[in-house]
Amino acid sequence: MGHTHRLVSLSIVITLGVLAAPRADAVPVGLDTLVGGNSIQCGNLKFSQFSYLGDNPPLAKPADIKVDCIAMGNAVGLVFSDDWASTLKNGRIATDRLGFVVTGLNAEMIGGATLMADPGVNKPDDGVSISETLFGLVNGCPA
Amino acid sequence: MPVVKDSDQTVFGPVDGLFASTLITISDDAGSGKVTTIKETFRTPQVSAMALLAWGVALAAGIARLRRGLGSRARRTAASTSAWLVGDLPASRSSTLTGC
Repeated sequence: MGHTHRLVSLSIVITLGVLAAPRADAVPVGLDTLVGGNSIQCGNLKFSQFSYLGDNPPLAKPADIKVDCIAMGNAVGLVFSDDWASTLKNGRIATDRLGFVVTGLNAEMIGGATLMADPGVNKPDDGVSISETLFGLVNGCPA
Repeated sequence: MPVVKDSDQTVFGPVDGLFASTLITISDDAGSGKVTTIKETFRTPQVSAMALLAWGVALAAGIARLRRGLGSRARRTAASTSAWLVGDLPASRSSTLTGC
């Protein structure tokens, strides 16, 4: 198709980048460690410049979110685990934002992505949506 | 607001880096909305040995045709090209990556 995809919707992310940051290859790790400037290597890919912007109150706290590598077929990536939930019960729509940069360790090109989640509700007025937007990078910045 | 889907995948023109931005949205009247795992995987295109061999054969054939055709203006040699196409990436108007 020659274009990146908007799997569901668009999003805004504030990311903290730290030059020469140490890697955190021992997984799983807390997302708070990664937001602090660390990176993760999974297979032939490097994940870095993590950010997490929670609502008020957040649906989950970075320190509680575990990050681990995952391999599915010839694809590798990350699995984030925690309980994202709203505690307000007031009908408000709460949104947290997660961001990171993925690059090939040996300049590999990336040509596909998959997003999976297990959103669930059991009351008619509740709803959950997970969406991912992918931006190409030019000189390290979203194009 | 119903649950939209639990997985989605896509293929795109290979890029050498991506900024992945994920939104977790919960509309919560009764407090039952929940997510426990989010998986984001990425695929690097595999170049097989057969594909490389076919490319080499095609290249050799093209060079041979080019040499034969240098003296023959009447015949055109179809040039085959391949390129990684990267386009139509969504604008990141709201992205605030440090240094960008």
